[in-house]
Amino acid sequence: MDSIFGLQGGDFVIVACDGSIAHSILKIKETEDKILKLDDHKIFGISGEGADRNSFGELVHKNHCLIRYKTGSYMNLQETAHFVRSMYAQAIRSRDGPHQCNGLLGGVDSDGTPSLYWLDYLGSLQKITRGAQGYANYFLLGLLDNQYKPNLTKEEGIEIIKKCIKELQTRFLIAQNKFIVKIVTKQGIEAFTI
Amino acid sequence: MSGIFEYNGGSIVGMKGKNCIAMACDRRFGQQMSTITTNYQKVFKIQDNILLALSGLNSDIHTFYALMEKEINLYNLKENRKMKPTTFANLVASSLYERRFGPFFVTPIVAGLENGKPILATYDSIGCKSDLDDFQVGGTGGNYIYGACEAFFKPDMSPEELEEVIGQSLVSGCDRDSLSGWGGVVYVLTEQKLTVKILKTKQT
Repeated sequence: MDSIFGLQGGDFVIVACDGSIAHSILKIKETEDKILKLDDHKIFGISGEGADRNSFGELVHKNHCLIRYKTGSYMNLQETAHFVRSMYAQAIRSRDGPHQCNGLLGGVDSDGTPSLYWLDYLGSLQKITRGAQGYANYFLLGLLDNQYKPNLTKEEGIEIIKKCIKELQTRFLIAQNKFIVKIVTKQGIEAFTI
Repeated sequence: MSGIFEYNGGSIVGMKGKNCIAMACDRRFGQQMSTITTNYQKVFKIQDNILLALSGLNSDIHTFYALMEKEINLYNLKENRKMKPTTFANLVASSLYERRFGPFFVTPIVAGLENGKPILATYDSIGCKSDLDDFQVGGTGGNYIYGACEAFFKPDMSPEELEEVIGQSLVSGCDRDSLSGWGGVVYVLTEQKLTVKILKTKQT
């Protein structure tokens, strides 16, 4: 039921998520932040059951830090994406089974190049310029394809995200009022709620 | 899951020519009926004279490709020489059989040039090697591509002819398969060079 969607612009990446936690017919919380900050220039939006989301998120975050301590620097986006993919891929044939969550990993490298990666629970990995996880796929991919153009500015990107949110609020059966949006640029991460 | 091999979709085809080989693949990556990207690479250059095409589950394509890269790099370091295409073809078969009771959900095609002689091999997901035919197909659109290949193929084609024939076969096949398409990429390998061409297919 989570919606995670994002797009990559000329010098930034945006990942947005809905804020709701539901339990059967009850909405427990509306302001849950499902986008994990891996470091100052990387964010990982995770969609899935609460427990899997939290535990896999922590696993990725801590391993990411461990590699930083072992090697002396944080991995760049491509390395991080492949590393997270390998965690997913190892799990699918393990005793405990796959990590039941999907993700969108986005960020900006030290040279300013933005990237956005689509990861799923089986260990699929694709570099994308716009995409979504979960039910949001069905509602937003057409809109994102239509609105996207290469080298978007930050303001244009935010406008597109606002249109996506409006679309979900209009057409998606599950009412999702609050959305958390995070933007990564060379300067860092900005977060706000829409 | 209607079929783990059909989950992500995709088609690949390999052909032998006169002292050359060609591989082609489509560009779609999807989740059952939904398309995620249209620039998904399924053919990998393992060595200057070996190409590996993989179709099936995206995750296992990444994993199996990484495994083969590792094997060939270790081989180069240990033996201080390049791997022959026939050796690599055997390596793929044994690597797949190692996972006999928990297989990789991929159907590989290996193509290479050994002393100018074209080598082409295909496998099922548990490593049964088949290297006697002049063209091989794989993936969800495989059966459709077979028909086009039978019609267009003739033995000992030049690289230009081969590129044309394999391109047409791929396009005809993928246009009929809903899980493959969104463009095609053709790789033609000769002794001198590797050419890569991107084709347009029906945009659905």
